[in-house]
Amino acid sequence: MKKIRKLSYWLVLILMLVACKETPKKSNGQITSETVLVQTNDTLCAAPVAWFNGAVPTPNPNVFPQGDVTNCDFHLVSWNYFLWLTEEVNGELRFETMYTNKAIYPEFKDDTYHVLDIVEQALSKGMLVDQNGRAVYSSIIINDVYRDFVLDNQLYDPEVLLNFDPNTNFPVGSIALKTSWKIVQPNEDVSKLYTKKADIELLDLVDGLPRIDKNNPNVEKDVEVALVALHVSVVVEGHPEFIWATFEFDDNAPDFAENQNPDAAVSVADWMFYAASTPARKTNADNATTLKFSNQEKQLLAPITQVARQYVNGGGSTTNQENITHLNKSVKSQLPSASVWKNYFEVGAIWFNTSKGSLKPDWNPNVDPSMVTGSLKLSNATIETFTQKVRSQNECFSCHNTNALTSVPTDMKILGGKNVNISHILLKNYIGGKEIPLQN
Amino acid sequence: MENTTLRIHPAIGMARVGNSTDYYLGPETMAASPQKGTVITGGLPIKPGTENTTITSEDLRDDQGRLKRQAARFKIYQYPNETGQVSYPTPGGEEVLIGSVVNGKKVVDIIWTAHLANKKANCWEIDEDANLGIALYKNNEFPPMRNPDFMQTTPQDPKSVDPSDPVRLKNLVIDAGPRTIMASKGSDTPIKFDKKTPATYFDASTGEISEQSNYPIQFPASEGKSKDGSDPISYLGEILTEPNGRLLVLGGYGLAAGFDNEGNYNTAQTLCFDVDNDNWLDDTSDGPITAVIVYEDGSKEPIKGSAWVVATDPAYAPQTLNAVSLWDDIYNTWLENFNLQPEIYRNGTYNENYKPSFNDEVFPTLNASHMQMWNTNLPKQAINGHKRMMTLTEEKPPFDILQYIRNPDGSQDTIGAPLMPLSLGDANQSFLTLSRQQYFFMKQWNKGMSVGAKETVLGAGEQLDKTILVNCLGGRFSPGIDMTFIARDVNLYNENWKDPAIGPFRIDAKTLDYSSANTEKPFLGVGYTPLRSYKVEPGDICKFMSIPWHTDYNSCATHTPAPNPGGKITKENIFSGDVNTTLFWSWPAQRPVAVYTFDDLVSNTDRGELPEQRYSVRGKGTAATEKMHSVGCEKEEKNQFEMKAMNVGRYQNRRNFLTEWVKVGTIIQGPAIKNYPSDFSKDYYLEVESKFDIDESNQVVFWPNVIDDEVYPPKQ
Repeated sequence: MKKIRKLSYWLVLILMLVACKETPKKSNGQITSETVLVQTNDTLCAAPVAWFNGAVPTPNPNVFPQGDVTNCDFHLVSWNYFLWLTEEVNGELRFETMYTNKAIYPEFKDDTYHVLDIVEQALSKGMLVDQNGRAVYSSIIINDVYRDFVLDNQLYDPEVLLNFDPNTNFPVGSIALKTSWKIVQPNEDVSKLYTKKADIELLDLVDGLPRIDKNNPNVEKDVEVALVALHVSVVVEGHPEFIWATFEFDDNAPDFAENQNPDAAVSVADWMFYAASTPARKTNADNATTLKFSNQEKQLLAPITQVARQYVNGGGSTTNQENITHLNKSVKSQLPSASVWKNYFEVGAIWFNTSKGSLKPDWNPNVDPSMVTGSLKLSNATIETFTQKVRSQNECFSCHNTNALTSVPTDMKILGGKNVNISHILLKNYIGGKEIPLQN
Repeated sequence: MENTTLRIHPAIGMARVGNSTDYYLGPETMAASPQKGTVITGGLPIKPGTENTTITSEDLRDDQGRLKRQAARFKIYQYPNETGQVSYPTPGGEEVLIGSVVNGKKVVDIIWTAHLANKKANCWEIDEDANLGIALYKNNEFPPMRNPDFMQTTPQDPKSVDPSDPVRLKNLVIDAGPRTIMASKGSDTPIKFDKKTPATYFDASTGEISEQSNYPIQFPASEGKSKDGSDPISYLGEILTEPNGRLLVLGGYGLAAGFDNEGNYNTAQTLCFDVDNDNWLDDTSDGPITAVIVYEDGSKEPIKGSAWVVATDPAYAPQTLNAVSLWDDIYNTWLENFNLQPEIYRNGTYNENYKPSFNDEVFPTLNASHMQMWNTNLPKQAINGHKRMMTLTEEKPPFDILQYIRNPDGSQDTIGAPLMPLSLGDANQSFLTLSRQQYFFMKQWNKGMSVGAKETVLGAGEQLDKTILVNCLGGRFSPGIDMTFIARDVNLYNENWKDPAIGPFRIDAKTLDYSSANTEKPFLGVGYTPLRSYKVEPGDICKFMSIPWHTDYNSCATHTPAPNPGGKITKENIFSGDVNTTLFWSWPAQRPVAVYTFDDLVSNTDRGELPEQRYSVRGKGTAATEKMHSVGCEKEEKNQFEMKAMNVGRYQNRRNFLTEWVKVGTIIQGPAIKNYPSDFSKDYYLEVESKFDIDESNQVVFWPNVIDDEVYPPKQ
């Protein structure tokens, strides 16, 4: 069956690809991340032209290469999803038509009211403050497959989740997204960005720190915001760990140089979240304990966060990085000149090399990294700004893994290690909507 | 009791330095362990003159605000000698006090002898660069010797220096000699280990206390004036007794003394290293404790075995349990090498059918994880996770806890979070591991084998042996605080433990013939040498520790792992992701890093909620600088790569800590604090009696803090 799916996948892709030929596979059929699609000329991993002629092909998560999969396949499918999710459908982007994370509850199962309700970054508790002093906002979005899986299995009920089969995976086709939005200033040039009007939850003083008061959030309506990043995590056939891909606006932040000197500037130019000539050691400084309002009424914060991307392409092998670079170039070169999506790029993606292991309960990449491949140090500069520099937290799986959830209140049962723990929407719900603690 | 044998307990007692002449007694309950009939958990020291009344915050300092010393209390127990062989554990044992009856005879007095010395300056280096611990003594090798050029005109090869050179033995060893005290007279008249008090010992040939005027009492480099933390050392402590006959041993005042290459006291010496500083002495010490029972009929019975006292650093957080204690290391050594409890470990393997007692053998490790929050900058989520561990029972845990515990087989030494303990490892080990029996007990519990397991019942004396060591640091011996890696060397111990007169956990003390003492010749020699079968002399236990102790205590707040799993950190690779730039704790239970202060708690507007943390060491000169700048150490510090965040919570000039250690506050449980509000949590452990009136360090940020973090001024 898998072979048939693989064949059909390639039939479709061959029709779409003009310049893409597969490399000869290893004789044993086991493919490492070094295996790539060989291209003619100097491009290695390219987007099919068919993606850019009319509607973006709908990704088929059930048809994904298995044993002979290549590194490029994962980046291709990630870009495919990104373009498909950001495609306009009836005046909205497709991802905006999907569900909020509240939709895992039966009473909110149709919820698509995407209020921007997250400012604290996961783990670090820091908040990305843009160059204008405003917090960068996030929201979480899921698709129907994800939602229905939770609803059908009643995993919103902590007791059910507690007793849920540890080995059951999220179904193929599950999608979870995290968006990242910048507040647009008057007269700010956002022509290169996707913008929209959104409702945002305002900051208040909570325990002496600027935070959203989750018990009684003040909402400001119709605020103009610009999309600066998008996490795309999808389950495709054979990958219940999700493929974790992340995309950013081109001008967000500079990359660290190789052997970046901490005292040297990362860039001499201004970026969206970086002031020209800021030394590397001043970037990505967690503000969890130092953040203050400079003007609460105007929702202005200090200090400004200077952001740099610590790992180009999220690291990984040369092949991985070259594939990302070439694929980004390929997509950008083929998108219509008027498309704002030309101004976004795939930072990287991370997944499992299934020849080395598959998702199992009680797995943590810091203990067993053997099957993890792709962009091994992948962070989004606007969503995981501060954890980039923490060795034990600098990639998606370091938080999204299948360890038990032990950091629960003393009156709650510890949630054992389960494959579904990989998505934090369920864990967050389990402990009552609080941030999911990393198992330190 | 008839046909009994006598043993002194604890086998190893701990005295702790302080700058006060006053003292309290060391704790005789295990740190953080629940105590019947009180909310106060174990580990708190005891008020002098009492059996077990624990101190309060008012007892930590004397009337002049000086930090009190901690006395080591020794007791004698008699055991029924039924089988002629000791097994472990042996429930029973009865304390022998003045008035007790032993073998039908009434005890009227106890003659105690102690001998304190300090051999640090004539010991081998810990060798901070090599960082290999006891392995440096393998294959007939030695690490470099401290003070290699002493009394030499040309530089010497530090590995070729002869420690038995009489010039070194005389000028680099502090030896106060033996002192004997009669319990009947000792409660009012302490006997000092100083220059003036004559050496005395119990002469078995005469059955009397003998003064040995020929004893070569040595206090080298002790003539001069105090300056900038250098103080001449002419006193190592004193002994006194309780009216009931028990012995109390007090250590020194926490002094350090510089000396020049000719052995003259000199205040201008540099302190450029954390552990091995040449040209320095300190007044920590150690040595044997022996006793003679005096009966009503005039007969005297020397107790065959001895105990040992170690005088070391102050305990600034006595109730915080170490994740790996000195007990865990010593117990492990005994389990695996001396056939101590074959039902647990035999013929090289742990018994897979053994059912560990949850309360005795599992819970303390969980409890220790919870207690780390009081001395470290753990974030809330970690604190919550640890707190949740406290609710687990003897039942099989509801998750696979071994997924969170670093395997001590060496396979996971370089893996940090999520594996526990999350503190820095031993020599040549990036991260700490539990001792092997701790891990084994955890593994058995994880399989559900603690359900219905029997509690481990120790005799009172055995319990004291254990308790004293539980309250000391284990695991990370680089070099540590109380004892170092020698705790794992079988050569340190008396293997004849089944002899009822010896018992387990005893130091293999050298028999000292004081009658042969000669003022012209140093009495003590090289003594115990790791991995060799030399007997142990006074001063042999503490000699491996930092010289002076202050510098290591000061520096060992937080560090990056060493060895760093990604290689040495340089300016070029700190952002590579290969090196681990996260900062971890060295000895958090013994050397508090970040604390919650009682003063902050009561002034917190959010009543009863924990305030922001402060660094424990936070006086003038602790604000982090790009490099530590110990005076005169420019050459040594020139090529070191450091960033500010690497140096928080310590004096940037090591020398400052020689005077400022006396200001460090102590962390004790809320209900033991004077004027502690009754509606505040009784489970808070808060810093009190800090003399750092102004916080001049940096703001504490939660873990995981990294070396390139910005540092900020503290909250005032």
